[in-house]
Amino acid sequence: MKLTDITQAQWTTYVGLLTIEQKDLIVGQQYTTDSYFNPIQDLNDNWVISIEEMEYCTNVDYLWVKNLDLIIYEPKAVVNPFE
Amino acid sequence: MSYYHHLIKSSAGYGALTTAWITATGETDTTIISALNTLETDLTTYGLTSKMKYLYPFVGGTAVKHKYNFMNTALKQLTFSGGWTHSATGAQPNGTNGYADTGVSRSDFTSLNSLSFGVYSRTNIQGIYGDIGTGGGTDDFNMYSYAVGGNYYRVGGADGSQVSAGTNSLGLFVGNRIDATTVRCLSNGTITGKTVVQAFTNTQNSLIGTALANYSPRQYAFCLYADGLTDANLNNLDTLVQAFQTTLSRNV
Repeated sequence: MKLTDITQAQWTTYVGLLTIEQKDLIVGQQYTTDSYFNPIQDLNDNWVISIEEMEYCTNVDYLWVKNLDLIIYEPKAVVNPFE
Repeated sequence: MSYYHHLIKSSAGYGALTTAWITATGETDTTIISALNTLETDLTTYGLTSKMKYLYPFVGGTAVKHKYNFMNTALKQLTFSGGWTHSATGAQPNGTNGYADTGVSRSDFTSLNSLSFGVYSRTNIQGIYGDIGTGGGTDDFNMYSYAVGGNYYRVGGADGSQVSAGTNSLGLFVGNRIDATTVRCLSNGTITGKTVVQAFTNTQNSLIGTALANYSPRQYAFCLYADGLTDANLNNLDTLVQAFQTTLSRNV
């Protein structure tokens, strides 16, 4: 599944799947002016970025993120700081 | 007439902070400029200007404009990371990996034991979402409005935790420590507090939109960091922020 296959209402359901090499390429880089990539690991330790980072990317060096395969986002367990 | 001459002329009559904002952002929207100028006047009227250290009004609709600190556009500009959506109604992290690093830590306040931090949220959703604050440690400061069980504020770790009843995550929420022993927090118009004893030594940078990797999906239309605020300060702040949002037709 690709970015063009989902609607905006589905943006929070999916994330873009990165290889470790791709993750290393984009860490600390801007995907658009004053906005930086923030790859994170999901529940299965896959490196992923959000749909917003893919959709809003205007940095010509990283437009390839728009073609990443999408997977359903499975977050790591939430840390409850009050328990 | 050049663009810059036009700017100087159009800025005439505005306060110093508003004029600096126009220069930094290139803002031309007269509704936004008027709202900012009234905000500046209200801060002065209520005696809050000297206490307000860093203020992010999130006007202009882009990350480029949302990054600026109204109190001094050259200081503590936000660094947005991960997924955000910027619009005329505010800045909204995606709840997955979006946050903003403020560069603000306790050493940036007048007194190490006197600080406040807050957000104006336009999204009503319950959950463990870090709205603003530092990411961890035994004496962190952060805020989780409308978490399960209420609004949670940590203003100096577990001992500095303050819980108030919460029915929604809309409006202005402020975590606030006045001195070494007093916490007073604002939850959309209601102030609650407690006495604390734990030493407060946190040195981490504060973030917006997360704490302890608990990413928030809420849209924020205002964020602030100030020295510790009295109850009168908190009530006045609530009034002026609500007026600001109303002028911009984005009040909740």
